[in-house]
Order: sequence, then structure tokens, then C-alpha cells
Amino acid sequence: MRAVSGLVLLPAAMVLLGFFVLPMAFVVATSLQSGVGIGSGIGRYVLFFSDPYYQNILLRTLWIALAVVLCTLILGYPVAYWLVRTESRFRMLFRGLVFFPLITSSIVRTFGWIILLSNNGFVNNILAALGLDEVQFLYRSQGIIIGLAHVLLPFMILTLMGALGNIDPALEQASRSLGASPWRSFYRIVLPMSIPGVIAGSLLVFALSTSAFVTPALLGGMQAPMMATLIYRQAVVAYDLPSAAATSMVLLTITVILVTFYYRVARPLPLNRMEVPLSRMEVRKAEGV
Amino acid sequence: MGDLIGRLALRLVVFLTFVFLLGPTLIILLFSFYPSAYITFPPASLTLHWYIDAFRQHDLFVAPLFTSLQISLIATAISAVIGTLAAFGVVRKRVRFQSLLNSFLVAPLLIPTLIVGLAGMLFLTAVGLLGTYAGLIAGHVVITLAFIIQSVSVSLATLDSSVEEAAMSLGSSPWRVLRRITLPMIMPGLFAGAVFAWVTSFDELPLTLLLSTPRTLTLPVQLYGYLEQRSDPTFAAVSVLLIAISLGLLLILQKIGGLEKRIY
Repeated sequence: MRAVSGLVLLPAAMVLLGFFVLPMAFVVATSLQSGVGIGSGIGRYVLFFSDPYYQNILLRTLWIALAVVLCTLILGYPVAYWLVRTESRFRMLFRGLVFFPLITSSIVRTFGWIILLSNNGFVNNILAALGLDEVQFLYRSQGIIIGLAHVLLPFMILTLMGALGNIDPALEQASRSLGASPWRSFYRIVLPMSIPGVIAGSLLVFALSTSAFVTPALLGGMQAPMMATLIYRQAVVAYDLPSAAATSMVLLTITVILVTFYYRVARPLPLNRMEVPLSRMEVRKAEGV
Repeated sequence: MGDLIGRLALRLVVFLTFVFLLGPTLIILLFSFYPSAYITFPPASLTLHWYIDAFRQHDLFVAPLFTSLQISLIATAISAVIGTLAAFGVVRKRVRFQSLLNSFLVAPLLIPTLIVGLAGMLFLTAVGLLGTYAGLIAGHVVITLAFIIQSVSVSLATLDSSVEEAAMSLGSSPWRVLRRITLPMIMPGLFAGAVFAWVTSFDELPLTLLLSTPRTLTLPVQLYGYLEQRSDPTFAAVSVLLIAISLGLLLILQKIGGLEKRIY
């Protein structure tokens, strides 16, 4: 029974070649098409990197991704540390709750943020009650950062838990009993040992932020465009397919580089057996963010 | 003393982060029972009106829900069959360039769905299938296939093949072994992969947005269009129903997770 015919691979290979590889070749070809839309051929790529409008969108995308990485690190690290070390009876429940944003439909989750962040929304009501000025969150980078940090936080927490769970608590106890303060033993022992997890989590969150679509489309709109919202606008609203294809190639290059680095860094990480397939599978789902 | 403050600070940060994680869902839940479209606190009264309204607005929720169910179930079924076949090839067939083959099979997972969608849009326009059910389902198969292949591969690779060998040496035909031993043993993996595939397909927006027409309006596409116009408690009621579906699926998956541990 161990020997099977190679033919079993045929249907999947045909579907992927016909509906994925070939269409991707269409994207490359379309991006180089001349005489249609803005710029032509290679000139489209030159235009993308020289026109301030596109430069701004690319820079905003990278800047937002960086901000999201920092937010998820600051919020996620303490939670990951607590989840790994706590002996609370409810720790399985809390681990389950971490997954919650991931299993909620992307549009539903974003809708929650619209209720919370709009000008007469929940957060601004609280700010008004405290006598503070109204803050504009929606259709700005701030709103996008909050929404993305929310949905990508689980990825950061799970990756950090993989790294932190591997550190023997006895090491910390040893340093404590030798007279180190809790702070000192944290940042001389735990923090350095968790750095590979921090790098892997940051790369993953950065890659997913740069290609996010639903969150920037609904919370930022075209007032605060990112790469994915620009592609959608070029393809559907302006129907300038060559430009959409060229922008896609730029975004694809960034994503592929980041994801390759991520798999390099993450593979040696001893993640929990159940969590690895789960988190890698969820990558696809979160790209709908 | 410093130790105690440190521990309390950690707890506080952890608590606030969980509020952040759950906040949007809780506010939707509250909003869906609100009597008015404005948030006032505390609410004057609570109502089920919006839930009834959600079902009454056939075009908002019910019709697109059926379209979504059709497309996601057909795509998942196709992925389940060809993905399971491919998993047998990945695990049990020694081929040259094994790792290249594996990367090829999971490649659609690594590329943003919006770009997969644009590729599909260009290709389907060229062959004249844009806006058809078939074209949309093909797109959904591409983005769900890898879940099945990965999940079934893990089950197959960890399966104890001595059970199969025992059945063979007792005289069972290869087909019988496949049907009675191998398939039941990979079933949890296949089911878990299929749930992931279905959720992904059911919730998929960017790709569907580029491939669908008014004839193939799925629920996410419909909700996206609605939300661009306005946000009201009816939308919140629909959201709560969708959250209930995903919560139910998560519980099922956790059950399977436990099942898997007992088998291996």
C-alpha cells in the first residue's frame, strides 16, 4: 500500500497549473503591456517608483505595517509570557480566546471597529464623557493600524508562545535565587532567548499587514490608501488592468521576500504540534484581512 | 514589593489586551439588541427587532447566504477529493524535486488572495468565463486546496502503516485496505482540513470581489457593499449570526483536535 501511482498528483497539478500558474503569467504579461492605461511596459514600474502619489502609498503601507508590528509586540509579548507561565485553571479558555479574532469573519470584525471608532462611536462617546476632544480614527492610518493590530495579534501571540514555552522556567528561578531582580532575570535570560520568536512573529505580522485588504478598505478607504486598496481601485474602479497588474507585482515581490525570510526563521522554532498546522493554515484566512 | 507590582502590572496588561481582542465582538452583540441605531449608554431597552428584520430583507442576508453556501460547499468538496489524492502522492510517492513539488502545491497560500483574484480575473476574461459560477468555484478551489493537502498529509505521515501491512498480510486487497483502514484513519485530518477550507471559502472577500458579478453575489461581497453605504443594527444582527456559525465550528474543531490526540 505504500506505493501509489504518481497519477494521484495529476488533478491537483492540473487545477493549479490551469487556474493559478497560467493566470499569474497573465498578470506579469499584462503589467508589461504597452499602450494601455498610465505609462507603458517597463515604464509602468519606473512610474510607480518615481511618482510621489504611488511612493506615498508604498511608504504608508510599509509605515502602517511597522506600526502594527510594534503594537502587536507590545500587547502580545506580556500575554504570550503570561499564557506560557500561568497555572490558572482557565488557561485553556484564555488560549482559545486568543483565536477569537481569527475565527470571526473579516467584515464582521471590521464592522465592530466601525461602531467603536466612528465619529459618534463608542470610543468618542467615552472621550466626550471624560471631557476630551473628539478623535478622528476612520479614513486615517490610525484606524487601519488599530484594526490590523487586532486581527494580527493572535499570530504574534502564538509565535511568541512557541519561543517562550521553550525556555525552561528553572533558568529564571536559578538567576533569581542567585540574587537577580525579577526585571534583571527577565531581560538578561528570557528576553534574549525569545528573540528568534520576536523576529519570526514580526516578519509574519509585517507580511500580512502589507497585503491586507478588507481592513484598510473599510477603515481607511481611498482617503488612506494602502497597496491592496490601490490594486482594487485600479482594477475595478479605474479598470486600468495593466497598472493593477504592475502594482500587484510590486506587492507580490515584497510579500514573497518577507514570507521566505519568515519560513527561514520560523522553521527551527519548536512550536507546539497542534499550533503549527493551525497557525500556518490561518495565514491564508488572515490574508483576507 | 517590586515583585508584586510587577505581577499586578502584567495582569493588568493581559486583561486590557483581552478586552482589546474581544471588544469589537462584544460591541456588535450589544448593538444588535439596541432599540435605536445610535449608541447611548445604558440602552433604554433591548429588542429582537433587527434579527427579524435581517431575515425579512431577503436580498441582504438570505439569498446571498445560499449563494455562499453553494459555492463554498462545492469548492470544498472538489478540493477535498483532489487534495486527498495529492496528499497520497506527496507522502507516499518518492519523486525527484520533492520539496519543489511541496512548495508548488502550497504556493497559493503564500500569495495575497487579492492578487490571486486579479490573476483569475485576467485569465477568466481571456477565456470568457468571468462572472460564471464555474470560474468563481475554480478560484475558490485554488485558494482552499492547500488546506486539504497539508492537513491530510500530516495525518498520512503520522499514520502507523503496520496496521495496513497487517491487513494486507491477512489477505485484504489494496482497495479494501484503503477503504476499511486508511481512509477511516485519515478522516479526522481530512475533516479538519475541510472545515478550514470551507471557512476560508465562505468568508473569502478579495478574490470573490474581483471574480463575481451580480449573478454570483456571495454573502461577504454583499455585506461589504452594504457596509460601504451604511452601518445599522440589522447588519449587527447578521454579524451575530455569522459569529455563532464560526463559534460552533471552532468547538467542532477542538473536539477533532482532542480526537486526533487519542488516535495517535
